[in-house]
Amino acid sequence: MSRIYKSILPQSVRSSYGENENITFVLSFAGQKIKKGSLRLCGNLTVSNLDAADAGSVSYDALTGVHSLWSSIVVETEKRGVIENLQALPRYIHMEAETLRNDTDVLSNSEQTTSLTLARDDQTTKFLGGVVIREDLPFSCKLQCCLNKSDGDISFSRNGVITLSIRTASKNQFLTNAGATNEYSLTDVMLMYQTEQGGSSPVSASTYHMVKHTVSSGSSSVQTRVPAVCESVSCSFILASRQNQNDFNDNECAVVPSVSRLQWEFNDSLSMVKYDMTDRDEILYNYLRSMGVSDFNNVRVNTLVNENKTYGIGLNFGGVGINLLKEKIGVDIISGVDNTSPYSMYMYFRSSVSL
Amino acid sequence: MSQIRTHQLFPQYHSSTRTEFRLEPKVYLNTFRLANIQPHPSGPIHYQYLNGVGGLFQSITIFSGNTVIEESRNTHEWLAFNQLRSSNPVALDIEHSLSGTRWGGWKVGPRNDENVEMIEYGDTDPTVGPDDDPTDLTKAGTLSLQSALQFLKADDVVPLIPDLRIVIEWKTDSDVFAGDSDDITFSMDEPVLFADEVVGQKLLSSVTEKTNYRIPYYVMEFDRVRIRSVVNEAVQDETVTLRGFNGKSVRRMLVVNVPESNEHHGTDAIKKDGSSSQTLEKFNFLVNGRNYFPQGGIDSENKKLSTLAYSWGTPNINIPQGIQFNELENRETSFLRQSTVDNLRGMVSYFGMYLGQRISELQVVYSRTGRTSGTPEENNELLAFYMDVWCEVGRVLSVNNGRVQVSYA
Repeated sequence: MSRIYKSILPQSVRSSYGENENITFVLSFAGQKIKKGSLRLCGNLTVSNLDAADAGSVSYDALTGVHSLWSSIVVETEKRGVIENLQALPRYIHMEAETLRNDTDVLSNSEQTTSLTLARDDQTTKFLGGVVIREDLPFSCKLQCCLNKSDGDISFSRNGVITLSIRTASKNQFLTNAGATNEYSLTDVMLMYQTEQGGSSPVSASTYHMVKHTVSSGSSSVQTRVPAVCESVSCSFILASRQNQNDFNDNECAVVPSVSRLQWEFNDSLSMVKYDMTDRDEILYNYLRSMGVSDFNNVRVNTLVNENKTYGIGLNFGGVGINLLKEKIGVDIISGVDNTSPYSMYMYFRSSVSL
Repeated sequence: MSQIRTHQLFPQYHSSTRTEFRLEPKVYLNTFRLANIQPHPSGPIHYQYLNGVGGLFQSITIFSGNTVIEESRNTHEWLAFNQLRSSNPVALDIEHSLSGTRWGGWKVGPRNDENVEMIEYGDTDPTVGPDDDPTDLTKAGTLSLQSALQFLKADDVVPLIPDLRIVIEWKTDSDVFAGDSDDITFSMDEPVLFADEVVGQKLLSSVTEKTNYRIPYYVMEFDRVRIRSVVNEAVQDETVTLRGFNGKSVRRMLVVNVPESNEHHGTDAIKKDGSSSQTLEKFNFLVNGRNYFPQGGIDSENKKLSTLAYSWGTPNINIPQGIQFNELENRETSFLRQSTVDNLRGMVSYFGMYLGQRISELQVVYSRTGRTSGTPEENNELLAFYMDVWCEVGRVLSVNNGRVQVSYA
């Protein structure tokens, strides 16, 4: 079947985009279907005045690359309205990189490297200088939204025109150790995707719902509801004082100090998960399972103990979708956190949407 | 009782340029594999780390009598590309190490002053080579024929095809070896072929009772065009017509930039079996009268890589970050410098895409900018090169009462 490669420009084209801006694409593909996983957001990344900045120590999150530039993504279809609203997306992709891949996979798998990923943050510093002659870094980013995570081709007849809205990250969310004169900009931004004729069968795509809480005491109890049938919940943490700060990686998955007990609850009942998690390895094992199944992960002694990161908690619901609009989920965390150094807790509930 | 009987077959004919196997008329699995692949070099030498003993193959052809079912031409080039389509776990695969390659392999190296396992993408001095003792076969390589012959991927079972022959042509130039190999001459050891015969009665009878059948399959065919040399800092625009695929149904395409000259590749670790990257390279294609890519085509290194990865990346295209670019502004102080990946910079820049249509007209619309900074790698960006365009072409094998016919789909 004949393949069509499409490239579209943003709805209101600009020569360059900076922090906290909206980039909107309208995908019109009447009579056709979008090939699964074929969307690529392409452009060139430039960071200004790099030489003058703090002895050239500007860096970005290596494991996510330019994914860190998209702070939120909203997908809207003509026939069904908004079907996906992804908040705190860079952090989720960072968690995926740590739990489903190891650093060499991020360094060498072309699905990642075209998004300018690297194995370690310090490798990004010199990389930001760009390519000789171009003096920028061209990227072709596989957006991690439902349009790229479907289990089949996405038909026009079921969805109509699709609108994809992307919000760019703030400078502090993307760059670390940036000076006052360092600004990032994106040029030649376009969306590439592939289509073929036909197709009307529904497909399913994975997505998530994010809820943010604060953990500010040694015994913290968090309760929440989510408007979806969910397969798992995964949580990561960062010191609230480090969020959106110039000196720290905004996607850091920090180790929560001295976690001695973790208890998951449904509808305030302790009976569904019939045991406390008290062991760090058990907590991490359940975190890894909540993010999916992979032969690799980046959680190891060096990253966890020496670098104080790659930590998280989670629970896989065991292949059973739980309607968290009806059921309330909660977690009790007994830890060494106190009110002088509160942690932000990002809870990601994995679910799926139909397209 | 086993359903499979494995045969070790010796060549009907063997020389340093050609080896031929003839198979008895039986039903086989598609798991044909060559072993004892080893040259006899005139002096100490090593394989290229990208394709190991794969660099020795000029072509592999599978015949039924005199009818060509599939001919894999420039097999060494195809095998080199396929090495990139492996996942990291494959680096630990037993077949991978037996083929003499080191692509993406693991080794112990220093990190933070401690020895840890590190991924290695090739050093300047490959260390895997043929045995010093000509009678020894401990370092001989293996090759699964599925990696070269797409016909063998059509089905798990190769039905009864009369007069099945497999013919291998070996490369004879010393470029098959890494490093300074100009003075090396070599002959080829006699390889063996392992074939798994189906002896299980249930499966055997279901296959042999068919006297008329058709097998659709894909083969890799290629056409070659020459891109002329370019002056430093000049923009070169070339539009070249490819006629090798007219009238054929093509699923996917692969484009390889093969250096024409050996001037800067005489001592390389991977010689000319990679694909050289070019400065400010732009691709478009005129397919059956229309521009294939809108908005200026494929005009950056990462668009090129992601388009390739989507079409050929099963499971992925396994090349480390940074080497898709000729050079980074801060290479001297970056993670690339003096790392194993820097040895590959500008050497593995492939392009690929889906076509999915019958070709009546195909043109390459190509642009690059000449650039040199005086070092050998950069001079690649001035020199003429061959653009090898590989297409996955549909064919059908028909067997009618013992008469074999091969046609384009």
